[in-house]
Amino acid sequence: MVWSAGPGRSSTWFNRRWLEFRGSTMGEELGLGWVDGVHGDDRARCLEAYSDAFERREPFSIEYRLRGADGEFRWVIDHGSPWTTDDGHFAGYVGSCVDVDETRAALEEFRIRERQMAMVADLGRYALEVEDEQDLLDVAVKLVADGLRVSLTAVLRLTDDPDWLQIEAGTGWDETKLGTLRVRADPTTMAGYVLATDGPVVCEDLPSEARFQGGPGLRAHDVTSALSAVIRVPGRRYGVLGAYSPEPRAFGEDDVVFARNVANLIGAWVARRAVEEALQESEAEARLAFAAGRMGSWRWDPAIGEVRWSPEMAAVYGIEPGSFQGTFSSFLDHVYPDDRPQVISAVEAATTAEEPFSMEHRVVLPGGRLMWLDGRGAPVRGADGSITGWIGVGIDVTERKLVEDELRNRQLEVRLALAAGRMGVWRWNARTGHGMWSPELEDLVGIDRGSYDGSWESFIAPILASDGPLLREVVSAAAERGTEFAVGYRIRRPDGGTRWIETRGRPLGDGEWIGVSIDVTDRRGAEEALRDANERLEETVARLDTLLAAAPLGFAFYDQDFRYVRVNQVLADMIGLPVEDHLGHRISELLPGFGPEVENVLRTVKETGLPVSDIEVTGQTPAQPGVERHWLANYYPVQAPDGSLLGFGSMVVEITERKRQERAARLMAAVSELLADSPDLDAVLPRAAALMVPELADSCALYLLPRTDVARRVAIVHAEPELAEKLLDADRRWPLDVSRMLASSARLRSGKPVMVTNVTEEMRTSFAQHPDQLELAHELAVRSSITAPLHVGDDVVGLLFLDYTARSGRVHQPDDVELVGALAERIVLVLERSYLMSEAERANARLDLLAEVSELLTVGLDTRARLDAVTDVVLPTFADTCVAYLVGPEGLEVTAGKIADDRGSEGRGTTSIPELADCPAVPVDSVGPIALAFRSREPVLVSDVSPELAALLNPAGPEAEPDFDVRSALVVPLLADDEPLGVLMFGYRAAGRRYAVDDLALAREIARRVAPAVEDALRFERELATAEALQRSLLPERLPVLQDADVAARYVPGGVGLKVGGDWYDAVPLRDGRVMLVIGDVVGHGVRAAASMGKVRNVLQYSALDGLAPAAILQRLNAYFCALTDSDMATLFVAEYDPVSRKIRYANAGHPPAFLRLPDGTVEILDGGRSMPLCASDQSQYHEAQHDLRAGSTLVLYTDGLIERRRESLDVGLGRLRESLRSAPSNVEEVADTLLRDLLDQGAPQDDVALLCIATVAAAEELRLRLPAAPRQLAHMRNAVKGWLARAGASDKDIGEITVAVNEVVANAIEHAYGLVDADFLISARQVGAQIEFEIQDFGRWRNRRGGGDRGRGLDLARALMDSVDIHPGTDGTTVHLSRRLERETGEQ
Amino acid sequence: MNPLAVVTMDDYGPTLVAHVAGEVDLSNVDEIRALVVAAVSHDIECLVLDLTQTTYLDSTGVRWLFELAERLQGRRQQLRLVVDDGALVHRVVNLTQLDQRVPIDPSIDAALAAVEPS
Repeated sequence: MVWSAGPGRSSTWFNRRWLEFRGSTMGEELGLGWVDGVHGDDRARCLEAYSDAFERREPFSIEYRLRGADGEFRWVIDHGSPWTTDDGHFAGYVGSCVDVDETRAALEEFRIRERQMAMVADLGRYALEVEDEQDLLDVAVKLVADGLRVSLTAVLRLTDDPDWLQIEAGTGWDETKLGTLRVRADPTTMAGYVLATDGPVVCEDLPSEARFQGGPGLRAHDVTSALSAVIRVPGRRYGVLGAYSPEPRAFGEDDVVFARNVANLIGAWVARRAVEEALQESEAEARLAFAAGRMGSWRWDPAIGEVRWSPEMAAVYGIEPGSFQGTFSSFLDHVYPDDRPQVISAVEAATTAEEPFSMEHRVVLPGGRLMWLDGRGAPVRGADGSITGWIGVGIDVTERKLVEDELRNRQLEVRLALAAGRMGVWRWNARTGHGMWSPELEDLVGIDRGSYDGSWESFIAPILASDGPLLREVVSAAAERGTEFAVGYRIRRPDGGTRWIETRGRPLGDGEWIGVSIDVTDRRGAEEALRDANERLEETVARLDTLLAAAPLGFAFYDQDFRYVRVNQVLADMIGLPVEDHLGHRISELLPGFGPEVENVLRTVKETGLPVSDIEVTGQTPAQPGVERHWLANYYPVQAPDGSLLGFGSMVVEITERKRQERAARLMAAVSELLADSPDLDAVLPRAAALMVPELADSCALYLLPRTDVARRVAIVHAEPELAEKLLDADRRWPLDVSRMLASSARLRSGKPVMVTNVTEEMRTSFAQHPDQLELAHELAVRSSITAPLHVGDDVVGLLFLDYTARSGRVHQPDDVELVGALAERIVLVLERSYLMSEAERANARLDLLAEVSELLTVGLDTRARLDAVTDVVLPTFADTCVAYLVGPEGLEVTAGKIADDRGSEGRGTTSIPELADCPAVPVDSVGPIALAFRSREPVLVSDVSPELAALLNPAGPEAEPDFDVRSALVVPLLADDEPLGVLMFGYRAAGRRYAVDDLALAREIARRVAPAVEDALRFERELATAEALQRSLLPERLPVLQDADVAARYVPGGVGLKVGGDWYDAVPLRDGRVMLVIGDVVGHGVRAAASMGKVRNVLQYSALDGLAPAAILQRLNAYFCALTDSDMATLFVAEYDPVSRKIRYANAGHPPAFLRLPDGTVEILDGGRSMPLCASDQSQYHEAQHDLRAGSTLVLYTDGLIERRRESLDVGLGRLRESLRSAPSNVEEVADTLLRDLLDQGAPQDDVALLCIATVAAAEELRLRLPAAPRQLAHMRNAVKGWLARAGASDKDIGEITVAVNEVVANAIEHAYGLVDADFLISARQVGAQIEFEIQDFGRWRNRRGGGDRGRGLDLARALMDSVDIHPGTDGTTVHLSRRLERETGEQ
Repeated sequence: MNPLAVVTMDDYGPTLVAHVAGEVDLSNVDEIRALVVAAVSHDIECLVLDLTQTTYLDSTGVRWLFELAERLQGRRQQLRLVVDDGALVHRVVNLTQLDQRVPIDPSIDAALAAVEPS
């Protein structure tokens, strides 16, 4: 719609379309009549802007609502521009008006959505902070009222009586109703119906609703339309969120999404709160367990020097919880001073090695009592693997230490008793013929301690020969009967003295004897001494028996080859073999698992001769196959009197039970530690699984089952990482059938762990879904398995699998089941907390994502750039891989794509898919999710992508290497008016992340925003391409070659928006060497403007060739265009140059004035000949002006795009043009380049720009020719060269020969450089004194000279005729320099 | 538009005289070649090319003349060129050593006189 107004602001004219739109007559609209049509709310603003523009005489744009013929207002944008008469007087405004109503409505709608999204994000942030449920609900209902523009809202919560819901918060209600009004929770009411159907419900007309009835509350408020969404909390029902409107209204899909998002946030908050409460209870339980085990936990952060103790830890230390000072040195204060150096060095060693440590040290309890503490710690690592702190447990082991000390004390006591009584103990083994003397016996006999060599000979050597026979008799008799004996005899000591000795012996079985020898020489009587000795022996043996049999202590003696020589019953029972089965066998034979380790310890004992005390030994025994047991062991050397090694002794106490308790406490503590960890579910899940290996499993799988709003997740940890990878891979192929699993076991369904300690082949076969899976099961070789359900209330939300495999050969124990049950409960808490927190954060992130997507799509109009931006933004929030496909002739072509650098969710860097152009198109009729989503126009969700399917999703093609490793994918079609444009593929490559049904909504939302933006861009690109092609086709292919003037032209399409199409230039050669130069600008842009321009061009060329002068041409054009019904205004500058008179005459139809640079460099503006634009009025008269165009002048014609800039007066642009032209070089091509460079900003101009320059050349100064590379141009070229040479004063011979040479070079270029294809070449020549220099430049590459008689002859000819011929091949063309010195005319000499 | 060069023929019995007036270059050499080839029948003994009116001859023209000499020799026909002594064409013929291959005469009469009877 077009209008014009006079200088006094009153409108003077409206076009037909305006009048049709308004449904009014010209008379009604003229003056200020049109103002009546402007919407009342916009009128003042509109008139103010209008008047303001008139005052400043600047262009304006006003947006207002204009009433149409049907009485409806529609939004329009009105652009007005001032114009002036040719004498420079302001003549008023011309304007055009565009209907933007639909765009405006779309924008309005868009703003509402943006606002809703921002609200949900705000609520999300609030929910993370708020403590009180009522506060949250109050904020939520206000938000819903605001976001959905309804007055009445409510949150209804299920009461303790599940038949009723109660309004807990709301807007628009009587205050007294809140917290009191109850609604039945059955499907007859709207809220009950929503609860029953579990989904959002929209009701547009409540009175006629068939599904349910409005309750009294809704009836009281005359509610007509309503939207309700269920508030879901995992594990239980919560309530309903409702928005109600008395006026009938529609609730769109966006409104539903908004309500559901708010409801979900409330649900997430409530669930999180519940979990936190449960967690606190559970923490309390854990504390009790800790306290019972006299242990506590600690945490140490070396970076800040903080040590934190759990309350139980403080209790173990005997101090009030909270009174611990919290530093490492305050911890040391509690350590027994003697043990401090050892503690410090243990901690230092651990922090240096970054490895777990354990140590035992004494603690001084308040009151001075000492406590033995077993302290263990392990590093906590951050995401990057660096140590962020240490955690550990402390266990009171005083009791155990006391037992151990007791043991040592008793041994000592026996020794003391022996020494005090001047008696010695011996052992004799009749089988091996080996004996052992205590040091006291050696003292008694008078030999050096340790010098008895264990032989029988040495045993009896001190005995006087006369007493020998008696001794032998008594001993053999006792040995025969297996009874005790007592005998008296004399010995001779090495110092020569003779002593009376009484000896008592007792068989221990198995050829082993123990005995006591007493020096009775000084005793009053042998009888007395003997009785005394007997008593002592009884006592000693009793004590030894206690040591050997009664205590839970295992004793064994080994020979030098680690064979069992003697084993007590306790140790035999521990090992699980009869005593006899040990003897003569090596330790490693009987205990292949840890026997070699024990033998290594014995080797150390052997080498050092020193005992090894209190080492822990772990392993399985025949007594309890599959059970890992733990012992505390002491090993010591047994030496002969001569110091030689006889063998080894061991003393072993079992501590398995204590270790298992420690393990349980440690695991529970470690799982609890996860609570403090990152809330990222995808990070927590594998960490939880990793804790179980190898303590409770060789292989642990942790499944989180899919829910409506979360995809299933899996973490698998195996002691061998490659196997874990294989298992994860298998899980993708054959996802766990959870329902079958649960159906198979009532115990699992009831939430209890199930243990199978003997996994059979039958079980493996029934579990496997594929022969390959069975094969993997064989490789895995599970022996023992515990399966624990993870449940929240009655809902099973996950499964924990703990498998011992052939790798360790271990078997789960009954108490493992209890522990796993407790761990599973705690893991659920951890996961639920992570899930809720990460879901809440993710919901926020996703809302932000949508806003970001929408924002991006408003900038730029290039499909690839837009899709690039989208793929960029969705990473990593919604995908770690995103590829955009658009349909093309070959199928679906990859247009943009991004892949997160790192396969983990922590990777933030991205890579564009390389060589997009090399990615093959996906045929529309092919198999696979991409083509399917496109054909079906429905999203395709593949939660678990098999490797085969992953190949089909590979943007580089299914055959491409390396494999495309995508684990989960979601493909969503881009639909414009239900027509698919292409698809967006979202993928997760990171293990564990999966798309779920709930992700479809967001994917759809993204696609819904992207599709119109892509469609716009595609349409724009199509139109731009068409308009540009049309435009280019209308511009002259080449400019005419003039004898004494050079012409250069430029056209630069506008870069932003549909700006191409209006500008145009032409240069029409006329008779007598004259040329008509034209530049013009049709109002408007795009294909339509380009087409209008085409019409102008045709009429103009025809008129010019017809011999019409510029003004007459404009006159004819105006008449023609005004006669056409549907034409746009155009401005035009037409100039005719006559080389003979060296003058131009010109006429200007509303176009910017031409610029003229004189040979002396001054710049003039050709502002004569000005008239109205074409088509402004059929009464327009066009005038002419004329001007000299002397040699060396440059004339510049241009369109306004060259000088116009936003928010800048035209004068500034004109001044800039003048300046640039003044300083531009003389060459006309360079003038054009300089002007564009100086006047246009970087990048494409806002509007398109046309530029036409002509420079008249001073004769014989320089020759410059630009000619098409065509053979028929040669003659023309020769004429120009000859003419120039003649002007340069060359002789006929010079002229002829130089011409031949130039011709040969040019012909060569034409033939060889271009292969006779159209292109240009440049010839320039100059004269320096008598020297003539030619430069011939082409833009191709010359072929090598072929065999003789070819064009090489032409170059030879040129060389023969010129002084020099230099050929310079370049990358984009060849330049040839020719030079020759002119002969002097004899006449001039 | 005026053609760049015009070819006219004079029949002297067994000798054919072809006058090439104008400029011969890459753009018209094929055309001139076709005209001359069409005019030279098997029964003539000698072709005299009169280049006295040829104001321009480029290397493609020279190439053509070498080819023509080859061709006529194969047909046992003679070729003679008439070139003005001081003309640009003479310089070209000399520089390309065409005069080593084809006999050059200063006038048509001289050419006709020099035709060897066969």
